[in-house]
Amino acid sequence: MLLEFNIEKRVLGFKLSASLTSEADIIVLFGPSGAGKSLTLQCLAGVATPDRGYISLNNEPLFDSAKGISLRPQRRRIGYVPQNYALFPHLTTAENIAFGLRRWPKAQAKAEVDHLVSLLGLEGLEGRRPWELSGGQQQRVALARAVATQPRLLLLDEPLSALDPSLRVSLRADLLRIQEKMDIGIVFVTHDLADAYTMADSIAVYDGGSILQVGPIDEVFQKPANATVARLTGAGNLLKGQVVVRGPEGICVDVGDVRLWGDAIDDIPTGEPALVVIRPENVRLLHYDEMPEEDEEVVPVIVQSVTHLGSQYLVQIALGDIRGPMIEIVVPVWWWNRYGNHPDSAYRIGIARSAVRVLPVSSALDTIRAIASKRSEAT
Amino acid sequence: MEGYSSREGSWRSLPLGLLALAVLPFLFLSVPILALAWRTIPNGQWMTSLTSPVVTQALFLSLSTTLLTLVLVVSLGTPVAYLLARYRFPGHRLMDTVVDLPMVLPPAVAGLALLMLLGRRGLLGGVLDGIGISVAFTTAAVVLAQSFVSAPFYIRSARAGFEAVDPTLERVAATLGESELWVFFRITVPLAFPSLVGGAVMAWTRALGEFGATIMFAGNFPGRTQTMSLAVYTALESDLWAALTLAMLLVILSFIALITFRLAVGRNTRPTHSS
Repeated sequence: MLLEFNIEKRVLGFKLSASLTSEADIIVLFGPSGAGKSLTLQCLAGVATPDRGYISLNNEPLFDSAKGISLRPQRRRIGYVPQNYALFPHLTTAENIAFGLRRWPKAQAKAEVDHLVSLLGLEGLEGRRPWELSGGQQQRVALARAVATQPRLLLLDEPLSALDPSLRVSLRADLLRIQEKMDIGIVFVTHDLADAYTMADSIAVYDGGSILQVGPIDEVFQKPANATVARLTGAGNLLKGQVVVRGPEGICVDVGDVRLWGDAIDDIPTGEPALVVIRPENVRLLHYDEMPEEDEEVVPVIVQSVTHLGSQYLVQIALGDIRGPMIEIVVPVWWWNRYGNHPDSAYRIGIARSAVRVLPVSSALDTIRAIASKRSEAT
Repeated sequence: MEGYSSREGSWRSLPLGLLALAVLPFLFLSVPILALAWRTIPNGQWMTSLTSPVVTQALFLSLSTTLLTLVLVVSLGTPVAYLLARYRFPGHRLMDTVVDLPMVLPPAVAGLALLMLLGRRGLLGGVLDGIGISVAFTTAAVVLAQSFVSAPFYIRSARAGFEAVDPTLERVAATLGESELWVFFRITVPLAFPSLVGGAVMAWTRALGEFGATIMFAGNFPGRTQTMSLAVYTALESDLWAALTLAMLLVILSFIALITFRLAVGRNTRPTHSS
């Protein structure tokens, strides 16, 4: 699938201005609510019209304000599942699924409905009305209805957010199965990191009506383009510092009294200010006699606080000494139970260069956000 | 017990003071109708009146004109209701207000207004008169008068019904390849159906009871423009039994309409919004 768009739309004081080009099978639109993700989906589906720009799918234009092209939703062959599923309340499960198959031969339409009913595990529910179905069942009916017409692209708006955790896991699996089986492109809106990680081939990070970064999910998570992307994608640690060394082997930033080495990605001259982004899960706490790996830098740290999150520990540490910059890391439960609180523990961390993302202080705004996010964590 | 709302609570919790306050108004609303029935039914005279020309002509005229009015109001009012429900545009509020106006306007004023438009010397009537068409004081005028005063009842109710249908349903239906018209009849109309029927019934009863606008604009000619309401008023001076019989017929028709309305509106309580 090749999806390209560059659209602008104003709605009641909000401005969406988003552009994306992607060949991924599953694209996740990720970001906080009110960032323009749902509006983007509506523009793709054709139920909302951009003020200007273009949208094309597999090189076929769906919308182009310059050429006066605006395909009606009926002609786009794009399946759309809005956030509340929008099942037709007066129709049964089977009638909902068959809604777009009116022009098909009867037997063929019935076979398709039966096929989707069994594919999505809806057997026995064919005669029920939407309000007699659970949330997960409603979601499956909405999915079946959307894919029944054999669309080229499937748009899902927060498809899992209303479901409880165990159901989310099974529906994610269903979605991936359908995607593979039908060889259909999916654009998936979510504000949930786990949804994004499980589903996305490619992720577009939204904030304030625009797309800040697009790319394979690992790339975006590990190498955020700016501080906002880092913050939105859960890279909780942002430190302000100054570049002291820059060479082909890496870039070294002075944060407080500690020096951190990162891969040299952006070209920031020595002496310039820089932001250091560290994902909590990329830092390894070393116990008293543990050796660092070859590619890891070692930094002595002071443990400030420890919070049990259930499946892991969240540990706040100060880098260097007690007055050093603070970061948060996560530690496995078994590790902390075995090595935490050890009498002669002088903790250190091992941190690989690839885990330290050094960003230019591109705008004053980024700096303010970095400081503000540190403050809000401190309180 | 859980699940009991105060509205459905058992009669044991009924506040007696409130009940006492309700007795007098209830009697005031019901006893006059009973008095009408008490004066009419025990005496067999109404059976002979039932076949008198005044009654049969008025009955036939009322039924045929109100049915025609109903067809006009529903077919022409539905697009207006849908437009007002789904779209916002400059002049929306004005249009909304103007549509409601006949509901609060005194019927005599409505009749006079129609006369000023379509009467022989009216704005449009003069032109029509020139090509040999006269509207005022014909059966067509009865239908127009009834449509004018009853349309707001249908449009208001239909508009509310359409507004309660989640537009997302229509959008999703469009992405499934179906035309707007098909979606309207397959999705929107069934979901708004109780409001549409309710509005149609209210409009029909309003048309059936129409008096002021009809007598001003269509006159009071037996067989042509003398509907049941007009005939009740006219017969009161000459033939009380015809008046009473017509009045009882109107009570029965109104009662049937009211029951239809309640059945339609209460027919389904399922949500018209998706979850």
